[in-house]
Order: sequence, then structure tokens, then C-alpha cells
Amino acid sequence: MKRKMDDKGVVGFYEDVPALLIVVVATVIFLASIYSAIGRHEQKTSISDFEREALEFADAVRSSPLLLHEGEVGRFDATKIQGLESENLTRSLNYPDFFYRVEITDVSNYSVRYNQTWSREPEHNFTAEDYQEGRKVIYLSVNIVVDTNEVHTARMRVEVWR
Amino acid sequence: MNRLTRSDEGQSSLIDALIFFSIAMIGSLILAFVSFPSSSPEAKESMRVYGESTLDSFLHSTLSRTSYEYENETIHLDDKTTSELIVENLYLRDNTDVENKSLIEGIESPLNESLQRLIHPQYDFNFTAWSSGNASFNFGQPVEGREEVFSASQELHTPDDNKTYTANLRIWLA
Repeated sequence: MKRKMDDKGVVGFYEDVPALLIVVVATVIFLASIYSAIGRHEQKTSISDFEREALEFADAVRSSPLLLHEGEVGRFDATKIQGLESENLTRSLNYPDFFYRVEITDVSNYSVRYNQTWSREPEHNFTAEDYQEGRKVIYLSVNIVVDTNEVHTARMRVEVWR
Repeated sequence: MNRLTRSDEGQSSLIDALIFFSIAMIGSLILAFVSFPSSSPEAKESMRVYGESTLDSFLHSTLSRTSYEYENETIHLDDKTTSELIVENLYLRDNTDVENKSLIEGIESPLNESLQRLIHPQYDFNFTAWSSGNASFNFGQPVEGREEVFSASQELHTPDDNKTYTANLRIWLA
């Protein structure tokens, strides 16, 4: 449509100023939504990185020589499970820069169960703020070898946070 | 000073601004509801590692109190590994006339209970084992209609037999 330019139109303040205000408001809202979308994307990426670290940590516990029976990954020795202390596990994993809790729950149908928990936790009771920089829980399954005729099934829950 | 006049033709910049506003609002709405993939590669990797470690742990564990009835005798299979029990069960189904009911109650049911205890409550599962003959058995929840199902399989080695035996575990978020 060809625009007609003359001096019959509404004078500046009555048209151009409201139009400018509308454009400014629309632009601000649009930029805010872009900023919010970028923020959400960065948060997702950061969670994903931490998830990868948590997976690597869980895998390191599952293959720790301090726990393995005859070096087989995922097969823990019952005696080693009972004797291992958190400090030794933390040292063998090169003092990770996050807190962790590893829980082994024996779910076999044998009467003697081999449950154990290792952790590296802050000294104070934790609050929601302790999880601010990320928290991830990894579930795995392992065997607990008592002897060649008695191998238990166990759940391994690895929780890491920083 | 010019006298103010009214004319529709003079409203063009306001209309342009409103059109711009509408487009910006539509764009903002799209950005507000845009969803990033909820299932990251790490989440899939996590499920894969869980599924494989669970099948491995299940097959290499031993079970007490398993048995079956044959010719009025109870055959006890204590402390055999789960994979041995699966192979034995399939072999008996393939080659003998042992009643299925006895095998279900004496072997498959303890296997099912063992796997149920092992699988974390946040997952549902379906377990199937079959031989290269016609035998097979299955327990767990039905898979039909499930999304994001992870499947892991293992061949069960039997040096004394020419047949092949396979175990398959499928898991998905409950």
C-alpha cells in the first residue's frame, strides 16, 4: 500500500510516541524471553555435565580394586565390603571434588545380608542449599561373592552432589 | 501552530507497531514453551548401564531353595547360578515331560522374585529366556505400548549342549 505523506495525519505525540512505546515494550518482552530460554538451556547443559561425572564416579566405584572379587567388575567380595572404610574409598578415588553416598543393599534370598554405606559428606546437616550446584543419583546392580556357591544380588545406589 | 486533524491514513505507524508487538508476543510465547530434550544422552547411558549391570548381576547370582517335581521325587537345585537354572529350566521344557506347573512354581517363580527384589522400584521390567529349540518362558510386566524401553541380552553358555540359550531383560521407567 502506498503511503501518503502529508500534514493531515495525527501529529507526532498522538501516534509516534505510543507506537514507539509499543515497540519498546515488545522488544523488552522478546529479549527477556530469549534470555530466559538461554538460561534454561545452560542449566540443562550443566546438569548433563554433572550427570556424566556422576556416571563416571559410579563406574569407578563399581570397578574399585578395593572391592572386587578376583578383579571382576561388578562382583564385590563380601569380606572386602565389610572391611572397607569411607576414607579409604575416598582416597582410592582421588578425593573427588563433590560429596557422595554409596549404598549397597543386599537383596538376595540368603539369610545373611551384606549391606554397607560409604560416604563423604559435609560436616553440617544438609539443607536444600547443599544441592544447589547439582545432585544426581545413579542406580546399578552388583554381585556380592561370599564363596563360589553363594553369590548374592545387590542394589548399588550412588548419590553425588556439590 | 498547525490545527490537529483526524485521518485514518495517519494511523499507519501505530498499526505497524501493533503488528510488531503481535509478532514479538508470538515469538516470546514460542520461546517460553520451547522444551529442550528431557531425555539427555547421559540419562539414556544411565539406563543402559543400569540394564546391563542388572542382567549381569541377576545371571551370575546363585539362588537357594529351588526345585522341581519329577516322578514323585523332588529334585533340589540349591545354590546353582541363575543362568544355570534358566538353562536347566529350558532344557527340561525342551526334552522332558516334567510338568510346566512344577517348573513354574519351583524355578521360574523364585527367579521372578529374585529379579523383582533386584530391580529398583523406579523401573518396570520384562524378562524372557528362550532356547534354540521351542522352549521359552517369560515374566514381568507387558512391554506393549511402552516408550524408551532399554533391552539387554546375553547368551548363556552350555558346553555340554549344542543348543543355544538366550536371556533378555527389558526395562523402562515406571
